Amino acid sequence: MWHPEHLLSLGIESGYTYLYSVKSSINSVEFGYSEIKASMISVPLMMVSSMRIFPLTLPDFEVHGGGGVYWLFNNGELYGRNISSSIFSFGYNLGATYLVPLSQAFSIGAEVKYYYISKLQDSDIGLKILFSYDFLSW
Amino acid sequence: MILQGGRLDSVLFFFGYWRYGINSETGLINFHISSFEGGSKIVSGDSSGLKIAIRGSYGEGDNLPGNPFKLEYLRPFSEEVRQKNFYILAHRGGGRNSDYLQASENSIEIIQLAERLGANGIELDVQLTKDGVPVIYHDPDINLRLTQKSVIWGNIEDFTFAQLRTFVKLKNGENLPSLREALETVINKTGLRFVWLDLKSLQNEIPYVIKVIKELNIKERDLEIVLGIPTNEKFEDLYNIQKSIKISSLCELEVEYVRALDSRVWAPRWTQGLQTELVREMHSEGRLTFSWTLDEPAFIQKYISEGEFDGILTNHPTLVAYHYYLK
Repeated sequence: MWHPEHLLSLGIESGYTYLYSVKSSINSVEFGYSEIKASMISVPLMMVSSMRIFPLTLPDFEVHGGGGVYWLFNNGELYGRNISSSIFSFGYNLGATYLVPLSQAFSIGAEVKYYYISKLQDSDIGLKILFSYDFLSW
Repeated sequence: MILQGGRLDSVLFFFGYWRYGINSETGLINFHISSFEGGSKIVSGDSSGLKIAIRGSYGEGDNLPGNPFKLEYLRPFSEEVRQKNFYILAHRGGGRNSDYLQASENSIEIIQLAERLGANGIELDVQLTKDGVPVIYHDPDINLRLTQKSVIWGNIEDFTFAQLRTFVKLKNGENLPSLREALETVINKTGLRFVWLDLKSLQNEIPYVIKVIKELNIKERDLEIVLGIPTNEKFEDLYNIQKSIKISSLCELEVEYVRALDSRVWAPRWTQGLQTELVREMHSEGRLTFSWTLDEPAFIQKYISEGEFDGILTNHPTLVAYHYYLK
């Protein structure tokens, strides 16, 4: 994230999000009995921007949003055969962050974030604890 | 129309719902056939000189039927209609999900509905699973246009048939059908006369499709099954296979490709026009000609009245049937 001397910041977001997992069993007339395992993780690649909307009263509070693609990975096992596939999906996220500076470079805080993945038409809300470090300042 | 019916002496009564063939508008309808306008003869089973008039009314939406209508028998089908073996081919097994039919596209259920929609043949889309099972599905990937939400996502070719059957349900909750199940349904549960298998897989599915067709008993049915060749890649695949075995095919490419494959059917896109000279050339070589995918009412009428195609692939077989049988 690049924080210039203005209210608006720009950046790139990526990461690793565990979306869901399923563990069950099935006994179908057609194929017989099997354990079911399936999971989905996402790796977003987003252009994001954030803004301090109360710079005077709450300078450490930011709202942010971004759009881009999610790379989705499906893994698991059924009827003795691995499940392994990946797809791309468009998506976006919206959120709000509050960071408290611990030193000149370190901050700690919390974030609430909403994700939408269009291919799956799935939404997700996350509540996170954040550790922030300023890599480079000038 | 979906109707309930009954009779009082020799008067026949019907009531229920109507729906347009080309959109999802519906309403209530009721009508009757009086005893002197055909009712008596229908009840007695006497078809000699049968002339029916249907009188009733229909409403739009939730309104009570208030618009009167009369349908009257005028003449039998023309000699041309009775003589010609015209193919009304329903797209995606019978119709698309976007037309809100009572079954999902490319499902076993829609195949069984196709004849009631006016079709005498169907087009089915073929994909190949990871373990080499040809299945009936349009897109290369699992998506919410065609399926309900699932825990697996990706391309059809990434999953085995058992995995797809376990996790994936079509839009209206049906199972994803295998090609074998779809063709067995056509053979055993319909009177359909033509199946166009549109080869959609990113892999070479042709050997697997041929194997399924060969294992089915279609000899006792008036039924043709052809492999649809939509691209140069599929042309190459089939051309190489045909060096050792002859397969009945339908080619969407230019006529040179049709001749190279010795295809049973030439099927140009409807936007290429009537192409009457080329159609006649194909006929002179003993081939059929189909136009696809023709949905515009004005062009359906034009292609039937002015064209010389042997069949039309459409999402609205009801409309094609209407224009064809009035010819």
